[in-house]
Amino acid sequence: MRLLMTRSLVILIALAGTAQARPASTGFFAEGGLGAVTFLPPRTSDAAVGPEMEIRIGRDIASWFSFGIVIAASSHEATVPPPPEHEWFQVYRGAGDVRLGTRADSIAFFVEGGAGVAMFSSNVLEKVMVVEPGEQFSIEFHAGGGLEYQLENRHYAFGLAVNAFLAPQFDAIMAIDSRLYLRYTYGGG
Amino acid sequence: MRRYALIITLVGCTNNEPQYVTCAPMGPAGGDKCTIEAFADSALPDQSGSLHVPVKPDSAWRSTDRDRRAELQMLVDPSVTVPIYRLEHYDLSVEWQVTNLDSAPGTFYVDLNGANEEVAYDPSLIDIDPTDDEEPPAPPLAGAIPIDIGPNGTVQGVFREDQLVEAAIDLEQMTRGGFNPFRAMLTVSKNDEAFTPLLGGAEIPRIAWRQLVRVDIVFRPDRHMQLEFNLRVREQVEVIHEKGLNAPGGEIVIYDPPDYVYTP
Repeated sequence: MRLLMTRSLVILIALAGTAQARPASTGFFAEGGLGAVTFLPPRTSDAAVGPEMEIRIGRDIASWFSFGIVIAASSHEATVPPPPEHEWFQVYRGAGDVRLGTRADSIAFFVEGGAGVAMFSSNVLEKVMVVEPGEQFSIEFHAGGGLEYQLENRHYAFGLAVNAFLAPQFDAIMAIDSRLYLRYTYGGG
Repeated sequence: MRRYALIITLVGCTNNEPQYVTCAPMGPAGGDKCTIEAFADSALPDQSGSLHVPVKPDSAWRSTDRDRRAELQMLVDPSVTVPIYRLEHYDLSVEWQVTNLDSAPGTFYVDLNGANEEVAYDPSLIDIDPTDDEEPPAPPLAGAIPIDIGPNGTVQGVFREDQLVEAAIDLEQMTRGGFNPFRAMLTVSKNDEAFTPLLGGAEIPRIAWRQLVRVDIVFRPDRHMQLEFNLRVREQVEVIHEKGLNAPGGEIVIYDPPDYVYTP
């Protein structure tokens, strides 16, 4: 009996292995996302939460490492002391970034970070000294993370990402960018 | 290279985002006043404030924009002068907020006047009919509407872009067309394409109409109140300095032309 149990255990161990993650393509990819951008204190009172659109394209170097470029635009109501009142402005961002990740079956987790340029469409925040006269561009740093659900089709995934970004020239304004996105990977690898 | 130039041109063409202009005490228009605190018995000039449009001299424009003036001059009658700053260059609006500093409700008026590159309009200097002691005062270019305000309350308002276009045209009709101020104010001309001076002369087409380069606000409260205002400029052609009135001296032109003199 003991021998039978030992043999069964050996066979079970021999047949068992780590669970295979759901197949996912690696290669060139594109992501399109919708979300919201929220400015962090002490600038929360100067601009309202605004809707955001983001597009990211890049290349997976390995299943756990990719780099990409991202462009994003968000629109906000300026809530500076009036006048002006009910005026909106847009924040445009373009950056390059890298992403590190790991996968557990159909769920992937990742962290990402990068740097680029941010642009304010108008000087409405000049009144609260976020921008200086004539200033429209700033360097931008961003970092964050998220998770991704791999669909059974290996090319498609849905994701949720949350990033914080910092624009030093705009009085070091900081914001949280949270978005839901759809990813398509072209490669078959 | 040509591709990049095309992209830059396309971005430039579509960039007519508003620029918010407020007073810059250390700038070339240091005398501008954007906050008016007044009482019922206040009088001019305590009741008034001015704000200049931060226009660049035409020597700092792109050559194509500068050359357009000569092109337009060829299209109009030789007796008509095409101005430097025209309606086609930018749109203006004025946003204001009034705070009642008294604990009783009140009423106030916000009047808008202004100046173009040649002449300023100040209705307090105009006597429509010197023979009539009971004549109504000359009207402002916009405003003159009583507005109620609660105790310690605030009221916000705006003179829209179309109202400032109308104001600029009314000033042109008075100064170049010889129109009576009441006739100019009480007719809607913002969609007109030309007007003919009443005293004769060639028709002045819209392409030769001057835009305002300074906005003057007169604030008339019936008790202690404060008005703050700023300009919202939306340029259609790159003639506005990106630093607003904080631009270094010499990079913008500050126009303070003589006042319009009405001849009955």
